[in-house]
Amino acid sequence: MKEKQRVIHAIFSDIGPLRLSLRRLLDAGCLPAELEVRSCIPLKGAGSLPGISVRSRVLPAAVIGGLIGGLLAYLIAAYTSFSYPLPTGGMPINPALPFSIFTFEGTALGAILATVGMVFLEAGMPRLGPRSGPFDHRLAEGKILLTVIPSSASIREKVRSALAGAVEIDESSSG
Amino acid sequence: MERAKRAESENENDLIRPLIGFRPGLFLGGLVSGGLMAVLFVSWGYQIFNGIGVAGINRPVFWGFYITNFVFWIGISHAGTLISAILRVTSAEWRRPITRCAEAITVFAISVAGLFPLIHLGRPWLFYTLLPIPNHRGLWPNFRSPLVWDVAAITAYMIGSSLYLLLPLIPDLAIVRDRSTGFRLRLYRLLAMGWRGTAQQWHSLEKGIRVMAVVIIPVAVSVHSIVSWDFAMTQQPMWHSTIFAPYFVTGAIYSGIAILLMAMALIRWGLRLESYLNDRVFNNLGLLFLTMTLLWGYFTFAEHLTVWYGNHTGEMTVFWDRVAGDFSFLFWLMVLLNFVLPMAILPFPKGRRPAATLIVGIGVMIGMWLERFLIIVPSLSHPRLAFTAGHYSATWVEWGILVGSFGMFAFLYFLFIRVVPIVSIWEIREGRHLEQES
Repeated sequence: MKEKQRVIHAIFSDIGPLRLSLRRLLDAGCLPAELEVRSCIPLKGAGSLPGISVRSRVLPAAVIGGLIGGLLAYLIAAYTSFSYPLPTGGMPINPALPFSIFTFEGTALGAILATVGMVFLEAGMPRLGPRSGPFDHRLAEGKILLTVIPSSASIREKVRSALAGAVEIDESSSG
Repeated sequence: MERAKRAESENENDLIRPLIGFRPGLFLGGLVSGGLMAVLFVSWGYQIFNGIGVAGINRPVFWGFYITNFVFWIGISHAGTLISAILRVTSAEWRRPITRCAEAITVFAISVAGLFPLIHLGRPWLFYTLLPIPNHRGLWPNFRSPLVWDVAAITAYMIGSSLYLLLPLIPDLAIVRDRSTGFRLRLYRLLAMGWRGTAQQWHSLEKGIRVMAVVIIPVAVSVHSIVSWDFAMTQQPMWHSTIFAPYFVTGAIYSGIAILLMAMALIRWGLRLESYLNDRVFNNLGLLFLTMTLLWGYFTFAEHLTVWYGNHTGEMTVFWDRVAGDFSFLFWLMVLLNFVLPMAILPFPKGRRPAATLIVGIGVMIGMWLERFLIIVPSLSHPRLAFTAGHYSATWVEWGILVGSFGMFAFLYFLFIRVVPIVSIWEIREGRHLEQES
């Protein structure tokens, strides 16, 4: 019978011991994909933590969203003017200055929606299922939580010793 | 270190306490403001049932209280998002306790403001003709009209401000979720949308907030500029002015800071948040308030000087009506509340304490409403063709809707305080962490 996968949670009160433990875990044979760091504030330099990589496409998404939004807004304004030409008293039917205002609002709205959409996509949200772990309340208290899912039972002991700097450790089965 | 963290956590309970259990102050506030909000809907319902004729607006003053209220509430909405975004972009550390108070003001003020064009329409169900969708008459909106720019700008600002409020709120909802049980746990689990605080989530969120802060600033400026162009693009006396857009934006930020200071003073007193909304925050915001007082005074002077120097008959009629005619009492009251009173109090450090800023804030709120009224009504009362001049006085329906709009704003704010920590917990924690590190 297949053994249930074990999940090890460790609580840290500071980023220093966490950094040390992460280095030891990688040395012990853990893969970056098996490590997850959680906190209740953004950790300064989280991207430089051993085994933890973060990346974001929020900025390009905002730019693309803005371009699409602006283009759509301009097309709506221009199409409307040409499809139902109102008397403009000699003024242009497709005037650049007034339309630039509507185009700007479309650009901003496009950028905003794309930004928020990308944040949600990258953060894997919304996720509504009950997913609280054993130490989630400690996160709310300001602690840092490291979760390790060792791929093989053989390194479990090494993992536990790598987490020596943790304030508290809990081990449970994941499924 | 551990003791410090425990003290910090106990201190944070002050922020979560309003969300839990019965709070008589919040309940009473909600009840009173809810009652006032009911006045708005009863008055509006009466108008819908009997027609727009029950309001005092008539030839030539078609824009009375409703458009005054609209411009006023749009101005109030500038408090939050704009101030919060500027402080975020400039990394001002003292922003941390006030950003959420401010952002919430924007969302609720613009929701109230958005009602007024509907109320002013008389038949609000015809609103859809302003949207860029085919309608029953086969007409599309005229995108050259500032009124249609308004719809676009307010929609963008409302969506943007709501999302700008939501993004930094998510981690706090998760903090509350992780401290809750039972019904509250289910509610906050839903609201937190699965936030877990992973390194990736924080990275994306921080990027998102930064991008939003940059994008929302020009949107906020555009909204009130466009509102000013509703006036400036016409040939009405004292409206066709090139400085109307910056004048309106300045007034908007000014009234926005006023309501922000009022809200902060009341929250500090009501929820006992002296350690967060401390004197330093009031002092800094008070200095910004003082700067805006000077700017407002400068723009008002420039606007009136230009008109007086031009000595155009149509404009001078309105000018004298404002300064020494039917509207002179309101005009000088406005000057007193918007300039003399703040200049007498705010330059002094004691004048930038909560109680003093609350008094100045109330004065400026009234003064800025009067300013909007004085821009609209005297100009419309005296069109360029003198024989069409007329008089405007508001009816009980308009007064009811005005009073009710304050009730609606306050009710939404009380509700918000009941559900969400009004001071951002994670941002305060981050600030303390950075302070310790440095």
